[in-house]
Amino acid sequence: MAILEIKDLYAKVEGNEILKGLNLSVNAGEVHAIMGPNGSGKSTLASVIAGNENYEITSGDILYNGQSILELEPEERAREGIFLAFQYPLEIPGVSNANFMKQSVNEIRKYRNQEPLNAAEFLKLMKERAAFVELDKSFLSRAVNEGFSGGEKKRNEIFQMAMLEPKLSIMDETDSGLDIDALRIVSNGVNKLKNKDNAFVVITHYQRLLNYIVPDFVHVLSGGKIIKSGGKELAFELEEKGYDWLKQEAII
Amino acid sequence: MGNLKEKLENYFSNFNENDSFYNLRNDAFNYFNLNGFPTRKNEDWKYTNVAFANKLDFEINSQSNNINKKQIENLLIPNVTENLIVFVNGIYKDEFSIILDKEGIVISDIRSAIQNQTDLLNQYYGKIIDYSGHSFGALNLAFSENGAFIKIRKNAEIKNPIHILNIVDSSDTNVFANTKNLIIAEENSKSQIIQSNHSIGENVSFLNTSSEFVLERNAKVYNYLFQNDKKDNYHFNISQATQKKESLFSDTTISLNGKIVRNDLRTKLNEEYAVAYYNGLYLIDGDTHVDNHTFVDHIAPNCHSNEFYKGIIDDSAKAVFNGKVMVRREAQKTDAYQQNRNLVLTDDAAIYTKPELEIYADDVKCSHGATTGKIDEDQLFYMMQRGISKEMAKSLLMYTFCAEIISRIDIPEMKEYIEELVKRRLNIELEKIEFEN
Repeated sequence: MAILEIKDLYAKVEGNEILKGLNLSVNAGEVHAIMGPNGSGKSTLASVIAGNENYEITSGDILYNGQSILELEPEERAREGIFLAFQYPLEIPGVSNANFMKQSVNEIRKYRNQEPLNAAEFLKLMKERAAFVELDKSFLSRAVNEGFSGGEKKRNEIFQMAMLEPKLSIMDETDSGLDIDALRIVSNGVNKLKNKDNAFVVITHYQRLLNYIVPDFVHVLSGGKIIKSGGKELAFELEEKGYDWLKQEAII
Repeated sequence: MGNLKEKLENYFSNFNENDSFYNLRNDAFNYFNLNGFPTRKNEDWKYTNVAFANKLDFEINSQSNNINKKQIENLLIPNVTENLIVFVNGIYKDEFSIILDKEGIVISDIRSAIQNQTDLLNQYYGKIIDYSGHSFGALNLAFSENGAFIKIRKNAEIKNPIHILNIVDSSDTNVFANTKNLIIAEENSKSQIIQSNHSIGENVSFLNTSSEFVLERNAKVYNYLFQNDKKDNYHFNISQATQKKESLFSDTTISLNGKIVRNDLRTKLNEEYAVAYYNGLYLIDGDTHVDNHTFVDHIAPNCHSNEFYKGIIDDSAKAVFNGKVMVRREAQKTDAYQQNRNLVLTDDAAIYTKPELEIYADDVKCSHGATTGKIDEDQLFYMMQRGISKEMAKSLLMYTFCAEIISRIDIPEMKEYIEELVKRRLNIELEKIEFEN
């Protein structure tokens, strides 16, 4: 059974229809890349999977492990194992990364009928996962994303992903604003988390990221739906030829 | 007119010319009789309706013997136990006060100070606060029977904060209690003062306090006014400082509860290089009404003032922020900042914010700003996407909003105490997570 199955999805934001009949199926153990021109609906797709209330789904369905999640609140989706790495991570001044993660991890554990982690267990987990993305432990006592560089914010997203061990991770342009070193660090982090039970949907403009996080499938999103799917070689083709030829093809 | 006015008349008739402050009282009571309670036509009381003062029946500064040591202990700030001076219904309670005879400082009640500190009282008591436009200030001067007298001697640095604890005991009846403090900070002294206001009992309490601060050259006073009282009680206070050269007056006013809370905070920067810091926090819900009126008077050149008030207003609570900064013609090179930020959580909650800058000098740096907003939906979504419930995410964001003011509290014990109160109020647990290797 697919972890994620999107069926003929239509969604709008502020009255504008952005997604227009999108279909996507993602199985456990797979990495799917979603590429496409600006304004094609990539970030909208990420937002609707995570349950952002600013987006209205007008028809279609999103199934997660076979169950529709349209009625679930964002926090319920998160507790079920859906993680969104934000394109623009928010700053939360006054709450340390450590406290933020403690709230988060323990709320999720509670939802799963697990005991909260004690202080020692939690510290151990944090240090271990911070190392995944080469974050110094001093970073953990700083306020969430406050005064972080673009690269630090993205590393923090992957750190949080590592802490929460989601089943389904949506990465929304995680590579934007990253230099080559940060890109490598972030990608290594993701690769360490990959296993046969989880899945990744990687939204990106550029093929570059896909050298590091190698996709099993590449989809082209344009005009609110997927107009072409292929293997990782499709990303190279897009890098070389752009999107226009596909849009032409789609019209024909 | 209701009963309070009659009660005031009766009570006042017991004062006579043997009372050291009789003339001050008499002038103040005359002012009150002439002006009555302010109405909403009065600009300074436009958003704060004090009709209760005409409607409710209060006993004035009534004796209370209901309070025991245990109750007092519950009102203390943990680890702030030295230098405690306690008033119940405006009456000094020696048996609860802890005044250690220490070098560098004189702490007593005002009545004792009349005997021992006659000159200072004659010079300053009732002379610093201008009660015009503020009938409650006039009543405070007319009806305060006692208060704290604090003198920090020249060059003394007082390590432990001085805690003035005001309790209103309304177990038997509604009570209108008044206290008036005088704080003299001599040259090069440094001190921290906390005034916290509380009530015990089921009837209505109305606590009307004032503090006059005299800061001599290079004196530093860190003052805290704090209350987290019950929903049906009234708290009015005027704090006024008068500052000499290079002195620093820092005030933090925290209002977390009550029916109507009115805080007037004023300072005069009389001589060069004097500094005033005002920090304020109000976190209110239900139908609590908190009104902060502040005034910084830049009289001398080269002075600095910085004011930062933040508030969260929930349910149908209302807040008023009226911050006036006056820069007089001689006050060149003034550096004055003022900010007021608000989170208004419901459609019924409201903030009336009015920054007023009046500048007569031409070479000054002044700015002010006021913002009113809601909880940031994007931040909420971000936190919810990490599995945190909407309610908890909201609380965390409210806490972080308050934390910016709390973090400015200079007394660690006080800071921790307020932090805990606010966390408990918001129902959140945030721990100190330490990282060793």
